[in-house]
Amino acid sequence: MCLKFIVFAALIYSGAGEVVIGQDELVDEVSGLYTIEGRVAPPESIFPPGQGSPGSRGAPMSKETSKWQTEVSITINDGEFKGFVREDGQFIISGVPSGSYILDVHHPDVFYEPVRVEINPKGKFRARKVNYVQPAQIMQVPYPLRMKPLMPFKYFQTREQWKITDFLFSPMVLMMVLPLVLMLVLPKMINDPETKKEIDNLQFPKMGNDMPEISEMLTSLLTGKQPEPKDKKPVPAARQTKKRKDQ
Amino acid sequence: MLEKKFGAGPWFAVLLMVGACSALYEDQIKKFDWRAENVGKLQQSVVDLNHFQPRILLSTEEGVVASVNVKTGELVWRQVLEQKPRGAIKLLQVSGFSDESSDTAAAPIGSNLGFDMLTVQGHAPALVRGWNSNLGAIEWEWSTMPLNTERAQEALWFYSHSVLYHVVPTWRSHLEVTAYFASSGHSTGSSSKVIASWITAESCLLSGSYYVCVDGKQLISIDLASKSGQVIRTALESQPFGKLTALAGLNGVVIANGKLISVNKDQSVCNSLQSSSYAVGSFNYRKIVVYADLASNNLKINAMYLDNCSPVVELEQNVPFPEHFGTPQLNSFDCMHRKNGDGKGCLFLFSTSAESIVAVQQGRIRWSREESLANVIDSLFVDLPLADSEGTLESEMKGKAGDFTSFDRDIASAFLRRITTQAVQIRSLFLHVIGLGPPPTATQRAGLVRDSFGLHKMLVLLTQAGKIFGVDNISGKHHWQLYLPNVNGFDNAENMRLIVQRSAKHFPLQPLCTILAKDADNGYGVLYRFNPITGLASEGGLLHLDYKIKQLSLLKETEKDFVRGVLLLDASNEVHVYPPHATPLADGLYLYTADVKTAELSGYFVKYAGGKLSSTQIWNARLGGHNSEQQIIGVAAKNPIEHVHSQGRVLGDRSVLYKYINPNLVAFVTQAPDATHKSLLNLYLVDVVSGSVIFTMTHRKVRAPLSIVHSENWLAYSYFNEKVRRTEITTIELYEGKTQANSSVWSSLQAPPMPLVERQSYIIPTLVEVLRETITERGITNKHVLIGTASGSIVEMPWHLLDPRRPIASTTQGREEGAIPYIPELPLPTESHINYNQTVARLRNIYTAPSGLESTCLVVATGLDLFVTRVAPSKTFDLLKEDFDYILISIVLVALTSGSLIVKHLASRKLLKQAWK
Repeated sequence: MCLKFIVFAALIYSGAGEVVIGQDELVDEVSGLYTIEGRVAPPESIFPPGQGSPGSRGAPMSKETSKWQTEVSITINDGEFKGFVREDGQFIISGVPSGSYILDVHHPDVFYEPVRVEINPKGKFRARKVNYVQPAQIMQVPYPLRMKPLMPFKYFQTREQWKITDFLFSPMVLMMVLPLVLMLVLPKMINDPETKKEIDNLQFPKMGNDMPEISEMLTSLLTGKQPEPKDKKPVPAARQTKKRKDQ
Repeated sequence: MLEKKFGAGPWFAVLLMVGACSALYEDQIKKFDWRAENVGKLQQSVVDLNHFQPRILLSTEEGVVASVNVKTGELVWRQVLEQKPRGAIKLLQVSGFSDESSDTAAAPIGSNLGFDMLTVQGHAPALVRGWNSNLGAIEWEWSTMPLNTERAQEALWFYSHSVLYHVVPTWRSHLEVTAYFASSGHSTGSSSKVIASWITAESCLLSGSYYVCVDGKQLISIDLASKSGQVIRTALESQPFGKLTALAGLNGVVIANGKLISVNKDQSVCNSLQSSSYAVGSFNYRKIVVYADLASNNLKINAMYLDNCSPVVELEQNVPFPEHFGTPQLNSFDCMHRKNGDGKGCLFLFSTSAESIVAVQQGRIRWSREESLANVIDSLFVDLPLADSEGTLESEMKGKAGDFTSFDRDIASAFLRRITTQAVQIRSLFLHVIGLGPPPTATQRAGLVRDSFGLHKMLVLLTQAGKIFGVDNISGKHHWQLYLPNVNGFDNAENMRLIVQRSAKHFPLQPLCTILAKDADNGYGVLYRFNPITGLASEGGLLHLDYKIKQLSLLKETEKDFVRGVLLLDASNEVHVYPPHATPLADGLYLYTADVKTAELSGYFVKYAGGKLSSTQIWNARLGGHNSEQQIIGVAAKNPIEHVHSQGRVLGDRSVLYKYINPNLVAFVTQAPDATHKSLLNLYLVDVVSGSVIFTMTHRKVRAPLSIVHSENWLAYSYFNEKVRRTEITTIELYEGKTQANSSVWSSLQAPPMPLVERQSYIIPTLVEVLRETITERGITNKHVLIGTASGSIVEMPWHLLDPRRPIASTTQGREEGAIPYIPELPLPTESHINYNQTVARLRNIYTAPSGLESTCLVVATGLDLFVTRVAPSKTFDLLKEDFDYILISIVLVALTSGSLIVKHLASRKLLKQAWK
């Protein structure tokens, strides 16, 4: 019965055994194929004027504006159906049977939100937001579709810039600076000359024992000079004083 | 409390890790990666040199319309149409290019009624689109739905006087011709049935508005554009051998046996011409026919004026034509309009059997496009050879390859050799510096020397057309090409194969690659051996086998020449080894075959006894289901070069869960229609040595497209869930348990314990085209899964996110393990798109290969375009960061050293002073 109706209607329409789609609502119903319509807003509409394109080409957006129509692709089901954008941003996808489709607008630099388009067998269109996790939740969007760019894709990390504050407040530096401060400032805060002297006598000789010798070795290695005996002399002297004090 | 605090530590670390997943920096664009854009095999083209902006408009077999720069061959714009059959281009009509006023559109360009360029594609529905040929933007579109879709498959279209004719033949009966106004799709009302009982699919074609059929020694033709529909009969000298071809540009002219024949009495042709390809155009405002023939690698181009059949001497030229292009076919040409032109302004466009597009001008090849790269079916990364000096060192380290007896452990002679090689090195360095060194070899001059990290490799690409390319993976330069005519993919939907028989590690011996294909004529196997660095044939090159190849496997290296033999199973289950001297190594090998249609698997055992190889079928399995409806839609084995570094996974309680690492495990996926569930998808994990089915799983209301990836102890596959209409990825991990049955040797035959199976499904908010795992040299680096999406992006997904052990309830145990709580939808952060805005049109496959660095994995994505890059799943931990601040570190070093010197000096002075006190 249905088939008969199709044939009959088709004969009325063209008499040619073929149905041209996209001209008449009646024909859409007859052939069971529909046309999805919509408009894509140009991607540069989200950029403030005068700003360069976020892409690799590095060319300013103004140069690219003439080409965005070829860069945008509108696809359903992995390129099974495709639409192309006219210069004014309008598009149609013709010859689509009834069903539920996700319409993707893909531009290499700018993100457009996909839309689920549902065409029921009677040819009623409904467009709604895509929700993969809860498919039952319906949030309708207007049809014919208006695809607006949402945001530019951010493909790249930004390089860390070297800043003095970053360096100063890094834990390593803090760990090094704090003991230094303690070492230099604390002795000065002690007012009592007796303890001061004691500390001087106790700590410095020890430091003098270990530290300069290592650096000495390094310098002798680096400069190739023999360690001068003048440097060594104070060390035993200090040791003697220390010993004397201890006794 | 304390425990909770500790638990939060790793949790944070995981979050950070995910967040900081390796992304590119903006200054790294095109540093490691390059993209090549292709259009596919040329179908129809229009060269237009007299436009204000000279261009070539073309349509291809891949369903692409594009505009190409005349001077360089670069794409000006490209529109990728739908996939076949909807996107198959039937007609490309460009208006305003020809001086023939009858073919131009009535309305001027820019108005809504006229058109610049139109394409007709598909058959049910057929889509007619008008394009702006300067920008590539669409201007209008209409479509028509034939009532009989089966017959419409054979439909033809032609254009005449701003009317588009749709011709639907019904074989041995009649033709239905419908006319439409080209730019609106309104029927002109004239639609006719032409009774023609002689038409058959093999003998007929459309030439302009004439429908021409061969009938014995005569041509029967009808002018479909005329009202009368008169039948014209033209006698032929002899019966044509092959199919007729039409000559574009001349109404009613066909080519039979290389000769031009006109069935249109208003159109005269030069009957004496004999050539393999023709094209029509105009030169100095006169109509000419150009013909081109290939003779001993020389392309001869000649031309003739159509009005008096006198030769056009200005256009006669001889072009040396490299063999790797295959046989050329003149597609179209155009000349600059000039009075008394000298023919230097003519550009001839050829399509070749190797699917190249070649442009010839002034007696030389101006540019060429390698369009076979739109159909890459296999790829390999091959190590480059060592520099000569390093090579000698290398040979010293392991003894002279192939000459073991001379290598003794005499320390004195070894020392002597070391000294001499180093002396030679110093000498060559000195000579090099003063410019007297030996001239570098061809490969060295091309920069083809191995770098210290093994990142620079030769990318060998095998294409459907039988053309093989050697491409530099850093620069994208084609170092060599070779063309194997007359080869095909195998039965059972298997493509040709590219294998490495000897790698570049064995220094004095050259690397060796082999292509396995099927002869297009007799279906027997074909082997082609070549050197992947130079692209030259080696060991005799082409070898025709006298049997059909059913299955192949690689043997281990021979000791003598380090060649890995190929084990071939032929159609009668006989086994052969190539090269023959590797035959003993095939003893005790297992093979399996899978028939895609019947879903039947069989396993074979290969035995070597008495100098002969034999195979025995040891098991078979039918996955076809009870009514044999199931068909195999996916087979996934592990990558044979994969290393599994870690044998287990540390759980929250510090015990180890051992991985089930079975190298013989192969995953099979079958699909069948089902009465209640629409479509069923079954997954089988089969041990292909013993034939035991380790695990099966069924998905209901789920269908292809399926992509699957199998590695280590895990498996991930994506499919379309029809019930909720979304793409999902299911991941499976196999574990042996808390103990390992046999930690040293794996044997499939000793009935290893059944694994514990962890599984989970995730929603992925895109369509997945292909999945591939990253692979590195030693397997220490984390494995990421590369997800190729339908829009052409490649997303790097860490396994942490796909992990089936992601806990649903946030338990402390899961947290301590470092697993992220389960979230159904997988995030696709744009930072992890490894090809940023360089999308790969019609992405079909991704191949990965290890580099010399443990951290880095080389990636090539193929489809219509080609994209090559590298990824570092765990970041480049074995390499200094490229923004490493050498200046800062040297300043700090110098400051510290000088500081310590000064401080030392001061300290000694102070001590001296104290001593004097």
